[in-house]
Amino acid sequence: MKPSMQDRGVAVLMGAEACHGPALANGLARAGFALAALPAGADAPSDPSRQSDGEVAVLVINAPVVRTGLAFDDITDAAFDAAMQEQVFDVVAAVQRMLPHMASGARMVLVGARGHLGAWGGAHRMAASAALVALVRSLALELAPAGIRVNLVAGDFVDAGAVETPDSEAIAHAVLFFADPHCGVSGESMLLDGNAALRMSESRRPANADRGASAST
Amino acid sequence: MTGAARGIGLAIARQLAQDGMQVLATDVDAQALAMAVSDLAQQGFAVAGEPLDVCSRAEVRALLHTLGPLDVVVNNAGIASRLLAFGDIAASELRRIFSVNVSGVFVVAQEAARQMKEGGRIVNIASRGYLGGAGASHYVASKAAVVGLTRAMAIELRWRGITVNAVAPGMVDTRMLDDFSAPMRRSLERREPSGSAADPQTIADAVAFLSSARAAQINGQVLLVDGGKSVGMPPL
Repeated sequence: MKPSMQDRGVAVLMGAEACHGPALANGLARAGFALAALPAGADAPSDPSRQSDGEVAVLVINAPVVRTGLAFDDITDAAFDAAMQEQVFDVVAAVQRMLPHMASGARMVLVGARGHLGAWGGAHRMAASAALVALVRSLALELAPAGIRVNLVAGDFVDAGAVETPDSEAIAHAVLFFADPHCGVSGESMLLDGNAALRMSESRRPANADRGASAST
Repeated sequence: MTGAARGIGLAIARQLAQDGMQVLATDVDAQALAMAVSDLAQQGFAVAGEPLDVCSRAEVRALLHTLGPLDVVVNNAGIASRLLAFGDIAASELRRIFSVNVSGVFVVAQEAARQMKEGGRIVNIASRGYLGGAGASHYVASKAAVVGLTRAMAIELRWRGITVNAVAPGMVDTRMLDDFSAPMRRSLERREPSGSAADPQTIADAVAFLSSARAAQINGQVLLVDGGKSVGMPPL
């Protein structure tokens, strides 16, 4: 029997405006969750989808990482700090704001990038991506007694301003897998990067790898 | 090398000097550093010492400019924090830890790489904690960021003949353990395969290897020096 909306509970999607956001929102709604889609950095809804505290069944924090070609030597302190802020500190704050609203048995899914494995350019963003993997593992350990599971979908890097990539549907699918109440996985990081890591694509020096070839942050 | 006044850093400084390198030991604690340099001198190791705050780009740049081309940089400076439930990690504490443990590594590595020769070695001290730990999300995330930075730097800098690796210590007998109460420390030690915190020298040995010419073919790796705890332990 197909579960009703009430059976699936409330899903809060933070970072709904970022890349993959529409695919994630559609996926969660289609799966029968009562969806509260919020921009990154939003306050926890005082009344998530008109339900009381402790009723959030699924929290998805969508924080995809924009690929930059920024050479290691060209990374400024300001760019470094911004990457830590956006990719780590803001995510920690978002989880902290949402935790009191999460029910026992709830699932938390972060959408990040494969940067923890390293990549050409943007070493600051790779460092921040790696921090996210460790956060997920620590949170999984820490929240296990509360019956909350925490996982990460590590996608490929995205283009600035893009709202979807060819992987967006697959990423939404992976998020729904982790969001399922019967998914027993916790603390894992699932690579969903078009096989980039498998192909060891970062071992090849990009044509524009020379210093000064890029200006993005 | 940074964070050289005590503990793991001091052991590394001594080992690299013993291996015949000209070592510049730095630490944010000038007084402790002076004592360390003096102790090393008494043991027959001529190690230079300069106070350095890795959080200050200006200090790092000024100091490195006084040196010639560098062969090895060891990023050991780091801070820990007491155990905190995730909900209790203040934004300021998270920033403080990342500032030393992550930005500090970045700034020193970036400035140092500019004057590094082909064959240069960068060794970053991470922590077994990068694999995750309850109550330590802030510290754990910072050390995982060091590992991510290590891999990204390894990918880019090898084209200049520079390798970048990390050593991830388990529980080591240093002042960092003072953050824990005595009962907590005993409880943590019981969870080590050896039943006790490791000698800092065990970390220095790993760093010395990764700093040497023998490690030329090793790049972007994390060497866990934790008595094997990370591969598993029988239940207590």
